[in-house]
Amino acid sequence: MLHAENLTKEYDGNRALDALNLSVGAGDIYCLLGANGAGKSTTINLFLNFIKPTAGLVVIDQMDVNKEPLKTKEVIAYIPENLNLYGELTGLENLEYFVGLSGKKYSRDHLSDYLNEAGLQANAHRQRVKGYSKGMRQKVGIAIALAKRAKALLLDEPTSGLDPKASNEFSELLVKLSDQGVATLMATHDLFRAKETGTDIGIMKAGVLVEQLSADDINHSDLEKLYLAHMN
Amino acid sequence: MLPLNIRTELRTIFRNYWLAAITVLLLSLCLYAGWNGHNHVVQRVENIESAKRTMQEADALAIARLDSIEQGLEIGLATWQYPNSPTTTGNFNPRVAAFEPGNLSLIATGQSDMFNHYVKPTLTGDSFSIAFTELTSPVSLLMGNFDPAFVIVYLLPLLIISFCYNILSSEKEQGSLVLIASSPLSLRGWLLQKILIRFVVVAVLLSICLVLMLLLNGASLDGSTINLFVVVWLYTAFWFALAYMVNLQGMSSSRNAITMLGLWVALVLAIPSLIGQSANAIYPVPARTLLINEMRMAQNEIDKEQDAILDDYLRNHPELMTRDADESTAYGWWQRYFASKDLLAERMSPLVNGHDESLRKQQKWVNQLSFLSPAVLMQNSLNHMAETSTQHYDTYRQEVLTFSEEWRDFFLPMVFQDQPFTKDKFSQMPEFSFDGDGLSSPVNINSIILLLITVGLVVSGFARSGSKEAERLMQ
Amino acid sequence: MQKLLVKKELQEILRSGQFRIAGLIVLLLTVIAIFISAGYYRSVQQQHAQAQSNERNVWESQDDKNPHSAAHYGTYAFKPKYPLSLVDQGVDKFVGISIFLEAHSRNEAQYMAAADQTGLARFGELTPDFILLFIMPLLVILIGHNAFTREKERGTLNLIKSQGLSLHKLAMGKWLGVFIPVAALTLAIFLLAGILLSSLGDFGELSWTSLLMMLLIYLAYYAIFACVSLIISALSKSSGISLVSLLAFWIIGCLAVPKAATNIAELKYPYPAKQAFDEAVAYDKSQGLDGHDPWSKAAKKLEEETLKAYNVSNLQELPFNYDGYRMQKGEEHEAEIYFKHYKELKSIHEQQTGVYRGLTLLSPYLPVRFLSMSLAHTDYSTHWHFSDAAENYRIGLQQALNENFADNSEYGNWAYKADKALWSDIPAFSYAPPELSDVLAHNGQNFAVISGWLILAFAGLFLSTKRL
Repeated sequence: MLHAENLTKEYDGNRALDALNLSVGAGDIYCLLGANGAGKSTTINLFLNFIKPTAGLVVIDQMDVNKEPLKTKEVIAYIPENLNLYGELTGLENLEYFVGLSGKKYSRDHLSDYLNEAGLQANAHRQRVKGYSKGMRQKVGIAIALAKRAKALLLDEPTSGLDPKASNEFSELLVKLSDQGVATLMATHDLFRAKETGTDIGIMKAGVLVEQLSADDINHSDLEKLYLAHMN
Repeated sequence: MLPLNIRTELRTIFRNYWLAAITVLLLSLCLYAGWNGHNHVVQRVENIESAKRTMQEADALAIARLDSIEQGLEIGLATWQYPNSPTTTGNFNPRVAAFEPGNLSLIATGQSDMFNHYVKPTLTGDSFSIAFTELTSPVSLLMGNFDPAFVIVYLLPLLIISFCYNILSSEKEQGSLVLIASSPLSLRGWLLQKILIRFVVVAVLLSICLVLMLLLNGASLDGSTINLFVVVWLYTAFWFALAYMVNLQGMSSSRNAITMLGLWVALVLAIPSLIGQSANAIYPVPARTLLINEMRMAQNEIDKEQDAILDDYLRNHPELMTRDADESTAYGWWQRYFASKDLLAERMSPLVNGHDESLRKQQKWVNQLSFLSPAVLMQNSLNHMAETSTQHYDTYRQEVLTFSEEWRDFFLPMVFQDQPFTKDKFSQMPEFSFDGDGLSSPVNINSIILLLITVGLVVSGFARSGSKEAERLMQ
Repeated sequence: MQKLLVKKELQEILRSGQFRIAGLIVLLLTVIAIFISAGYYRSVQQQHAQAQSNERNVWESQDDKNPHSAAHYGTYAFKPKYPLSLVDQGVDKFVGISIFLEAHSRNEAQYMAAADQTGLARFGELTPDFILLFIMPLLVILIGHNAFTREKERGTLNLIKSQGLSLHKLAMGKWLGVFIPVAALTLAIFLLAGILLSSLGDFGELSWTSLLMMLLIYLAYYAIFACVSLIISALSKSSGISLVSLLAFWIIGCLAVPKAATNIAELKYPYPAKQAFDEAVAYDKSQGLDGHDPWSKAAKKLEEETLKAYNVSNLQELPFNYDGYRMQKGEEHEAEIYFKHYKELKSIHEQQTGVYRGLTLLSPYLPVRFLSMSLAHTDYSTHWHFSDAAENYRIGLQQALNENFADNSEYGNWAYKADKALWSDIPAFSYAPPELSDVLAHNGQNFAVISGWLILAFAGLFLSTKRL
């Protein structure tokens, strides 16, 4: 579903990403770990067509992202680190808007169902988003992904700033989506969540993918040791 | 996408009180400014009406006296005040040469605070003695007026800027832009829609405010008002187009605000003053002081050329020429009086023409450069529609001078042939009429230029670097 | 500590691209404006000097002539310009440049420059006062609008507060950081103006004291704007909001309130139409000063009294030409009529000035503008002063001419011609503007209002930073 081939990005002679090769299949949750500036966000941005690769290929659902930017965006959903929606609109209205921008139209009730599915309590649906907590906003983000029937989900530090309960709820939603066949690429610092939720783990350092392994093949403690070893 | 954007945008501006704030602001500004403009027009009309009433009273008095004279009755006046002397009537019963305000005069004070709106040319007055400038405080002229033109040309753009400077940047700063950017749409197109929606909101609000302002102040809504709305919408569209271009650069809200305000200062303050300055530098109007000197020297020469036996004192007090004096002297005297005036006018005409010519060249130069600032285009259009432009007053001045010659031509034959002025001649006296409507209007050209600039801005914003768009905007 | 604060502020500002670009543009514009203004000033002064001397030649080169003819031929008084008008042109563009002084009439100054220009002139010209009054405050706003908001946005405000710094010291530091660059720019501008003006030599003496006073007033103006910028920055949530709010303050103070004041003043205290004014004067001339004692009647009375006073039975026996004497009395009578009407105009002027004064509470621009114009002798009061001086000269001129006629001819001899030496015997018109001390005394209220603004602004600054 998500495929990067020899993906390279250079800024003014500085290699932010160096010949990245990774694949995320349907139903997989790929967690990309690494320090700040390692290239995680750059990777996500390349998939989103926010920046152009210097070399290499970015493919979503067998479509080249650079050749078909609009079509590829129809099948993905993105939740940034700071998901600030439109404060004056309600959760429901925000959902309606962002889903509408991708060309889909649902009834209010149907949208409410998606919000419920994403775990947002019913009495919050019609409240203005400026009163939401971060966790609640994340849930709206998930609802967008659900309502868009996205085939791929791109996440940038989704659990930063969430308390353990909210973080756990979020993980459960990711697993649910994964069961529905959504391919998820998640950039994160959260080693614990990566092991808990992810199916695959990649460690990035200075633009290079230095380690790639399956989440089942390692335990929490060893993962941390491996990570720190690479960081030194 | 458009209906969705419309719904969402309207919701947002309604809920964050922008809509309420802009409505209140526009309404109060338009109504206040309209009231000011209206007062100005009312004062002008009252002055003219009062002058006409005085004229009518003087006419009635003169006719009554003429009646008495014809019946051989005594009227208790010095002989030089008798209305059957054409010079007396020509001097003491002048017509009111008025410049009535137009339907839309309340929208722009223009030059109307500097100049007179009626003069009463007399027989012995000349083009140098007619005073066209009003008695007014120069401080008022310096500060200017809070008229609708001020609101539209100066304040409206600031309203638009504060409404639009952060359309894109606030989305970026609050984090919703990435969500938009990850949707299958063109960011430029999406932004254009948002700007268009806000433009329609402001245009509609503004139109309602203007209609209210016009109706409450007694203006009528006719063909000329349609022109007004078109011009105002185009100006509004220009500033929205500018906001679109600036937002597309992807800078922060703060940077956007500074850029747009800098553009406002440049377009509304700096460039107009530079254009005016350049006009003065390239086509300087010859000094009036030197004109005065030339006139004095010419007058001196002409005086010296007068007949040696000419009675100096009587020349200065023409009203003392009585019918009892020797008729050949009176005839000869008047002939020489008007002849010397003609001679002076002839001597001065190259200088005066040179003066007017410089002014015309200045005006032409300014008109040519006015496309550099939409504010200038707008002010010129508004002044023209309000009939308060320089062109209007120049034309009025010319027509008054022409009329004063007509007035002289009516009376002089009677003077030279020593015919008395009779009652029936009253209805034959020339009348003055001036219609501010008929002048060639720059409004359409200005509107076309404004349209071209606006469309140009939008198209160039749209056509720019599509592929690097997201990269730039995401920075 | 304070020095450290100020140093950091100045470093931040001077290194910021925004200030450098804006400051450079403002400096460039001002230099251009000063040179254009200087050129204009020089040429106008030359024209006036030439016109004045030409006019005097024309007057003196009259042949032997009846003095009353000379009185009607008249002479012109030209309004001079003074050095500081280079900095603030005030209302000069909107008042006439010359007054025609003739018998029986007090004339208005003619040929205002603005009437000879295009409508574009009403947009304002690129003059030093335009930059000092409108653009410099914008520069202050540009530098100061985000003084506090950028700290809030970056999160450094809490860092600063956690260092135990007194917020008052912080406020002063920020204020100095905003004020010093602008003050330096202003000082440079005034120095340049002063140097240029003192090199002009022939045309009026530059009063360095007045120039200094002007500088101080403008510095006070920018001090006020600096305070207001910081107050709004302290109270605003974001830099964008701060900027827009400050711009609203600038618009209201510098554009909207003065214009509204004009409209209010004209509505409450309108001037009469020129034609109506002239007709009222003409009416009084015919009906007499008190409305029922026309000159014709008064003239008869004068005749009787004069005959009685000199104990003669007819006018020929008087030791002077009665016509000349009568004309002088008539002239005095007319001068009184003009004095009465012009006094009404003056009272309208004063009432209108009162309206502007009242609104100085809403706008720091107004008192600064009026003070600046007063110092440059380009305000309306100076014009009145000149107009009155010209009228006094006119009255003296008429008196000299009429007395010459009365003393040197017999009654009924209208063919009398005065020797042309008379023309040069009568001194030329010369005008001196009000002294600096008079100007300062006249503007007491403006000074008080500016001081009030300064005090309130600083108070506001300290109060608002307390809440940071």
